[in-house]
Amino acid sequence: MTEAPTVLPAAAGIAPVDGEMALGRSLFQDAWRRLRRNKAAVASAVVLVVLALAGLIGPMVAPHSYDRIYPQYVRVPASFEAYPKEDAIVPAFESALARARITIGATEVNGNTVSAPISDDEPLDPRITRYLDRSDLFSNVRIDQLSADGRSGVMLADVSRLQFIFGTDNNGRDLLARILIGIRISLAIGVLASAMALVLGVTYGAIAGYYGGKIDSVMMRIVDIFYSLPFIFFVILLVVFFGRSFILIFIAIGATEWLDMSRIVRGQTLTLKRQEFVQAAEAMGATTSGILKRHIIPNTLGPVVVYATLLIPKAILLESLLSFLGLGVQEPLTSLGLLISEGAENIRGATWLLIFPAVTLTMILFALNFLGDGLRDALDPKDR
Amino acid sequence: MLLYVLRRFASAVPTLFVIVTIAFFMLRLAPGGPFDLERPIDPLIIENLKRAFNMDKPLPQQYMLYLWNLLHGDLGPSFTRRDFTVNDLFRFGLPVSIQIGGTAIALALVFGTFLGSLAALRQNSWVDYSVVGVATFGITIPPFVVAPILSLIFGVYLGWLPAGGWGAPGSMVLPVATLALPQMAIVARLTRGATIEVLRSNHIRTARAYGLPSWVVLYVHTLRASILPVVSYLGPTAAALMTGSVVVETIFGIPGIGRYFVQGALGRDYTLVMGTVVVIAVFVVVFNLIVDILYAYLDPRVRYD
Repeated sequence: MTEAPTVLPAAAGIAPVDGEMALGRSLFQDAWRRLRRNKAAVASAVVLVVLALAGLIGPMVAPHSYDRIYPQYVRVPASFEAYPKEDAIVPAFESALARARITIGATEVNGNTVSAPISDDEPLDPRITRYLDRSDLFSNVRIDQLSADGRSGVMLADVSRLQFIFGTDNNGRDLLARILIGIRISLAIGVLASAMALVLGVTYGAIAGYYGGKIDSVMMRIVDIFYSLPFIFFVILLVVFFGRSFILIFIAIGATEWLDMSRIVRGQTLTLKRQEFVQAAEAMGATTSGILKRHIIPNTLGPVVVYATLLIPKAILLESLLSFLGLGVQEPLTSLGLLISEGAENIRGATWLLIFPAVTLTMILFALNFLGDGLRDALDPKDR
Repeated sequence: MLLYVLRRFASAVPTLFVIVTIAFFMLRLAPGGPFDLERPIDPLIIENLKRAFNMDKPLPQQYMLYLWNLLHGDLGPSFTRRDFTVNDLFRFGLPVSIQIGGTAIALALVFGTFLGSLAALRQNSWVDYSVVGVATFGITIPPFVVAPILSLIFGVYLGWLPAGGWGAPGSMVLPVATLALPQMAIVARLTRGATIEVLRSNHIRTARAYGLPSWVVLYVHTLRASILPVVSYLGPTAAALMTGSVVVETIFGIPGIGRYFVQGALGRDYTLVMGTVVVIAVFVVVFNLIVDILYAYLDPRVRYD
């Protein structure tokens, strides 16, 4: 503490030193300034916005649909190169065409087309092109230079180049598309469950704190009892018995996470309700619900926002845990937890199935935690 | 002291009762039953099965019967695992889970407090920053990500340890590490925060002014106060870890009791689910009691009353 004692901010506001009227800064403006100075929090916010956009828009613009199955591309490794690989084209072409039971000459790859002279003892059936069309590798299959007797010609096919940047899963579905839809589901459940916990906890805590007395002690005793129950097990029970639906999952998570929130809000309300502005509102005859809505709840928002930010990763983790146990969202829909659990099962031989979803989930959790810490530092400078 | 312990146990009985009651009726009122199979069975067989499991009686009577057996330490026969009682299942599984969970808690406590106090003593140095950084990492990454990655690196790539299974030498290392890492991170963070605060407090200043050697100040006076939040955190956590982690047991294929709950709930194994709930609740109650006693021992301001 080497600084000389300066003029109190309040005094400076009343008697401006340099003649100009100093503008007061609200709590939120102050917090916003502090938050912007926190590089980790800003970077986390950017990462979160990017991931949220990826979850929202990604599945629409991704080259593959998350439930499209490519039977020829089961468990292909992650690669920036397009599939099929050059040395896989000819064998795939020949093995597909072998089922037509015709004589095939030397197969040639020419840029994006494959060609092979074909001949048979009988006139060629034009339907044999279907053997190739059915494959994910070839499209626009046609027979050219058909001889007059129809017994020989050249089979031509375009090679369809497909990108699987993150590889494909056990069923031949694009992992990138599945991760994008997983981000969407995980974030949606995290936000919705936190919103539900927020509404429940804030309402409950504000009512308990504001009424006080017997009502307060009964309501808080109920919360205490809930605390002592092994709640994760009740989530599992709920999901097991009432089916696995998206709505039930976030209701179950929200219903288990509101306890802390209600305690925080109750504590805040206890101090707020003795303040002059609340007494003034009471004296003016404002209704209880009006006081709660207009005066109490807005003033508890600081810690509530911080806690809600830290609640989202908790909810995402809980959802991932449920999905990991096979109690979360159902195929073909997926979530990051489900993808990680599939990756863990295929850890031998298909490591990309674990690594990409795990990295994505870790990024989301880190970003949310850093942002929450940054918000806490910004809104509650005492705690630094 | 003894009176205090007895009173605490007595106050835990209503909590246990509420938990058992809620779990019992939730299970029974939920749709589906243990004998719903893909293939329809002869109604006569179902009737016999129901009689064997006392399910032909009215629900309140079944509830009283369950409570009566529970008071005698009998958790009943398992519905899905033939020829096993729930007591048997816990007799085999619980030692495994306690072994893994207990080791993890001990490691987390020792290394966590050490790293945490180290970081607090060298606050804002590189030691501090690296401990906080690693702790953030350990808290953020969930066990179901850590476990398969550890298994991949040490079990598959390096081949130093078994990637899964139970009984082989070294098969305990990876599960214990998975469980201990996040707890260690949390303990380190709690210890660091508390130590920084305690170092500024009056009694430490007094101890220093007395001229006590710095190790006495640190290990006797500071640690004793700064470990308080850790103790209250570790109580419920130890209970949770010792009753088995479903994630770790699934990934490493360990025959603990962590999987019983989910498996039991999926198979409508009423007695197994109830048994798991009872065992976990008892662990929570016991560890909370241990925490309270330790608290009063460590913090002279707390009194038994």
